[in-house]
Amino acid sequence: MTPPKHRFRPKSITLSSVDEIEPIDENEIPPPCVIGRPIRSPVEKSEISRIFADFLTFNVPKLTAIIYAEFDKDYGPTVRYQVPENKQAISKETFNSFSALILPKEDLLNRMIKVIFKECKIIGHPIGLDCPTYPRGRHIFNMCFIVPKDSSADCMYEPLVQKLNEYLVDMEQECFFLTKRPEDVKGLMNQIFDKVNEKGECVIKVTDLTTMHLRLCPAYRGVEPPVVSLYMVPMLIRKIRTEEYDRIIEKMDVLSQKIIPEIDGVRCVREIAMKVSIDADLVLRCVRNLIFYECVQLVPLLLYANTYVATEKLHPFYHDQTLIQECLDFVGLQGSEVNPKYSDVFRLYLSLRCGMTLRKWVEAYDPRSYGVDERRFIQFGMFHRFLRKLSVYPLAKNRISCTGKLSRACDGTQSIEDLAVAHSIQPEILLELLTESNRFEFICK
Amino acid sequence: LRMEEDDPINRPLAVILVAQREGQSEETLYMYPFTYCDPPTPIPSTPPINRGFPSVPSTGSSIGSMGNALSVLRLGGTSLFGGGGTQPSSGFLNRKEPKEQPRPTIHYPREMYHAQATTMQTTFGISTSMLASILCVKKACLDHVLELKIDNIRFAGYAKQVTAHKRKEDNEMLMIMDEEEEEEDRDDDDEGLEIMRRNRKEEKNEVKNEDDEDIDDETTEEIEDGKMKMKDDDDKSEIEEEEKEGKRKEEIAKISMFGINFILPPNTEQHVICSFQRLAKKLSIAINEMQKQNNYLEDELVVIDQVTNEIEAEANASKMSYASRRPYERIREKSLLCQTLTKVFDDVIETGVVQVFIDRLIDVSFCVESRALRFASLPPRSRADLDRLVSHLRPYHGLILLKDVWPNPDPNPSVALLLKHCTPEKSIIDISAATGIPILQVLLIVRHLLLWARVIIIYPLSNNNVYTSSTFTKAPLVDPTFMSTEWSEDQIANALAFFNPYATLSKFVDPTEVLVEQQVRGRLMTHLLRHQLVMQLHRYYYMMEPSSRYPIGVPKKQLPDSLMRMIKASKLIHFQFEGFVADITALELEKSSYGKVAKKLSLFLILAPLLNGQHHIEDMMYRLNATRKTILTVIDVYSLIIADFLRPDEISALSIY
Repeated sequence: MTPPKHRFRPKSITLSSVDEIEPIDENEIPPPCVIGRPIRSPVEKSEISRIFADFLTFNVPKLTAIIYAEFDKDYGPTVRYQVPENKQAISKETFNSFSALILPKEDLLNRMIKVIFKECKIIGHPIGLDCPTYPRGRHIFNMCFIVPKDSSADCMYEPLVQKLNEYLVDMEQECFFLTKRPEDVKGLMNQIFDKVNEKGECVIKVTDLTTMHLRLCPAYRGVEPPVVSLYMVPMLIRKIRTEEYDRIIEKMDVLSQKIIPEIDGVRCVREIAMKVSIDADLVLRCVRNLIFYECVQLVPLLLYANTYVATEKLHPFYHDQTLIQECLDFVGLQGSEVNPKYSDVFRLYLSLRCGMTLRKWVEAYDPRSYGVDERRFIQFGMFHRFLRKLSVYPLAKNRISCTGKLSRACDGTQSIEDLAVAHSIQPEILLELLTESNRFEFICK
Repeated sequence: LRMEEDDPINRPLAVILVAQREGQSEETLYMYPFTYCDPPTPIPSTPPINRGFPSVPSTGSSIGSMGNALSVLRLGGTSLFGGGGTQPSSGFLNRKEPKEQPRPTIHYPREMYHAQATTMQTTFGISTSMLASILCVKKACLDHVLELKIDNIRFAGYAKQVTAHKRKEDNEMLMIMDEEEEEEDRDDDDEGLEIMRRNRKEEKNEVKNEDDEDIDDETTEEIEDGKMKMKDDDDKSEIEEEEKEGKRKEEIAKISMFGINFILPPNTEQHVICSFQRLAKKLSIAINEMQKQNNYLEDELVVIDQVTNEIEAEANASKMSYASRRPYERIREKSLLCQTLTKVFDDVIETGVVQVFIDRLIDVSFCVESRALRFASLPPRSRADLDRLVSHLRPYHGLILLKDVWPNPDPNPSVALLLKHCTPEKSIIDISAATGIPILQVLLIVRHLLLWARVIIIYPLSNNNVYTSSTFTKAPLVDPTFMSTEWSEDQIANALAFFNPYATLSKFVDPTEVLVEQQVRGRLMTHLLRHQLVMQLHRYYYMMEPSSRYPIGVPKKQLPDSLMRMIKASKLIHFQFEGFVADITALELEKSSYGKVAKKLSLFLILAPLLNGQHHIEDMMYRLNATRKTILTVIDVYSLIIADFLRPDEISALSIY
C-alpha cells in the first residue's frame, strides 16, 4: 500500500466551484482587501490568534495535561510525572489499559501514536534509548499531550509531541536529563504546559546547550488549495499593518515578495505574471501557495459577459447590520453624490438572476443611478458568497460518435473557461464558435 | 464538488478480528483484505528524524508535502544531529566529552515483533502479533469503542468482553421438557459430529498409510526403515495433536475478549470513523449474543485453530514461511465468522449497506451513509447532515425512491405500503391520506429511508415548479454502471439545456404535446431530479423599504380609521413599515371597493411575518391553507414593499452542496 499523499482531505475543485468552497466557519473567513483597501481588520478570536505571516490558529483545543511515562525497572509502565499535578490526567485503569500503546513494544517505537478513548485524546511519540548504564539496558519513555476529545484540530499537536520527544532524546544524550534530573523535567513540563496553552508557542532554555522551541502550526482547515486558473483574480484577505509591511514582505520568498504588491483584486494571475515578467506557471504556483496559507482568496475575473446569480447565502445579509454597513461603505460609487441605500442594494442583489449577463443587468437596472459601483458590488457579493458566477458547460451532441478532440472534451464537466485555457483562445470567441457550429448544448451551472 | 471515481478518503482499508484467550497472548485471527509479503519484508530501519520542524513554513515549500507534516519529518534529513540547525546539537557535537561514559543511542527495531510462529507482516508496517497486542485492550476499556492513530493509519473498532456460553445444564431448573428433548437432539448431533470427525481422521490416516505403502514397495530397505520411523513419528504426533486438541478445547472455553476493527486512511472524516465504530459495535454485540447462546465464537475459534495448525505443520514440513500458505484465505474457506466479516467489508466497499446474518441467525444491518450515497452516485453526506435535512422536512415535501428493489425480505408492513404509494407527484400528506398511515409515522419512515440512503426529498412535481440545472457537477452525465439505460446522454443534455436559465415544469412537459410524449418527459424529469442534475427554485419574499426609484405615491385621501386600526392592532408588522402599508392600502382604495381592500389587507397582515425570506410561496400556501392565486394577488398589491428572490430551498441546498 502506498501511503496516502495528503493527510488532509483533498478537495477537487473546479474553476467554477471555487466560489462555492464551503467555509468551515463563516466567521473564520478573514475579510478582503479589495483594490488595496481592506474592508475589515481581522477579528481577534482568541489569545492564540495572530496576524499575517504568523497565521491564524482558531479552534485549537487547550491541553488538559502533559504526562511523562516511562518503563520502570520494578513496576513496568508508569506515569512518572504529570502536569497539572493536582489533577489526575488519566485514571490508573485507563493508563494500564493503554500502557501497551504509550510504552509499546519495540516495533512501535519512534512512531506517533494517538489514542482516542472516552473523553480524551492521548498523543504520544514513544522512544527507546539504549545505554549500558540504564538498569535494563534500555530506557523507554514517552511524553504525551492530552487534549479533550471534542475538537478535531488536535492534529496540530502531533508534530509538537514528536519534536518535544526528540528534544528530550537530545538532552538525555547530552546530560542524562530525563534519568538524573527529575526536578528539571517537572519544571520543564510545567513551563511547556503553561506557555503552549497561553500563547501557542514556547521558547525554553533548558540546559546550557539546548533551547527548546515549540510552536503550534495551524492545520489550514484541512483543505487543499484549489487548482488555480490563469484567469482567476487573487484578492488579499489579510490586513498587513503599514508599519509591519516591509518586515513581513522581507521574510517571504523572492517570488512572493514580487507578487504580493501586485495583487490588487482586479488583475488576474496572467496579468500579474505579465506585470512582474515572471513565467505565469511560477506565479500560479506562488498564488496557490498563498491561498494555502490563507493570505489570498480567488475571485473569478469580473467580466461584463459573465452571469452572476444570488445564492441562498444572501439571506443572512438581510439582518446582519455590521455587514450591511460594511457593504454600503464599500460598494459606493467613488465621487458620486448619492449614497447607496440598503433597500436598493439588497434589491439589486436579489435581481441578479440566471439568464442575464452582467452587461444586460447593468443596462436594465442601472446600478450607478443608486450610487452603486457595480464592480465593487459584484466583488463584495462574490467575496461573501452572496453571488455565484455561472459558467457555461458545453455538451457535444452525439458525443460518442464524435472524433474531434474538443467534442470529446465537451462532456459537461468542463466549463467554457477551462476549455478556453486548454485551447488558448478567448472564452467568448470559443463560445461563439461552439454556438455557431450548432453541435453543442449548453448547460449553465 | 466533483465526485471522484471512488472516494479514497472514506474507504476502509481492512477489517481485523482480534481475540485474547485467558492466560495467552493476543492473536490476530483474521484480516481482510490481506496482502501476503513473502518472504516477510524486513522492517526498514527508520531513518533518523529531522528535528528542525519548520515553525514558519516558507511559501516556497511544496504544498502537498506541507499537508503531511509528519511524513515530511520522517523523510527529511539524514542525521539526527545535523538537521534543522538547532543550536544544541552542533554545540553537543563540538563539546569535549569524557570518552569513558557511554552515551544513550536511539533504539531502532531491526526485526518485526514476532510473538507467535504464525506472525505475519502486514502492508501497514505492523506485524499481525503487534496488531493484536495493540487492539486487544485491557479489561477496563472493554465494551467501549476504540480509536487509534499510529503514524498514518487509523483504527476504529470495538472491543467486547466475551460472555461465557451458558450451558444448558446450568439452567436445569428452568428447563422445560421440550428443551430437554432439544438438548438430547443436540447431544446426538454432537456425537454424530464427533463420529464424523473421527471417521475423517481415520480416513486420512488410511490414505496416508496407503500412500506410504505404495512408495514403500518401490523403495529400498534403508529408505523403508526411515519411512517407517517417520510414520511412527507421524502417528505419535497425530496422537499428540489429538491430545492437544482436547486440551485446547478446554483452554478455548476461556476466551476473554475479542475485537472487530477497521483500518481507515488517515484523513477519514470523523463521522465516518463513528459509523465504522457503530458497525463494529453492532457486529460485536451480535457475535457475543450468539456466543452466549450457541458457543459460536469458541466454535469458530476451534475451526480457525485447526486451519492454523494445519498450515503451521505444512509450513514446517515444507520449510516455507507461514505466510506463503495464504492462511487467511484458507481460514475464510472454513470459518463462517470470517466469511461474514469478509462480506461485511465487501458490502461496505461496494454498496455501503451491510446486511449479514451472524451464525445464520442474528440479522445485522448497517448503513455507512457516505458510502451508500456514493453508491447511489449522490454527494456524500454525514449523519449530521441527514439529521439537518430531516429537520427541514415538511409534510408538503415528496419523495423519489433511489432504487426500486427493497432488499429486506420482511419489511415493516407500513414501510412496504408506503413504498407502494411513493410517487414523485405525491406529497407526504398525500401518501398519508392514500395509505392511512398517520403523518407522524410517515415522517418517521421517511427519516428512516433517508438514513438508509433509499430516498431523496423533493418538492412534489407540479406544473408551477421552477427548475434550473443544479450546481452539483457530475461526470459523466450518464453513469453506465448505475443509471438506467432508458435515457441517452443526448436526451439528458437536451433537457438540461432546456432548464438554462430556468423554466417551469409545465413548459418542459408542454401540455400541448401528445400524452405519451408528456409522460416520457415527466419520467425524464424524475430522472433528472433523482440524479440531482436539476434543482428546484422557490420564490421567497422579503419585506423591504420601497426602492428609491419606485416610491409609493401620495394618496389623495387618508386611510379610513377602521383599516388603520387593523394595521396598528395586528402588531405583526414592524412599525417602520406601518406607514408604507397604510399608504399602499389608501392608494388601493382609490381603485377598488372597501370590502376587497379590507380582505386583502387582512390577508397581508397574516402573511407579513412570513415575508422574511425564510418561507417560500409553497410554504405560505401550506401554512395559510390558501391557493397560490390568493397569495400572489396580495403580494402583487403590496409589491412595492416586497422584494422577491428565486433560490433553491434548504432541502436542495443541503442535498446538493
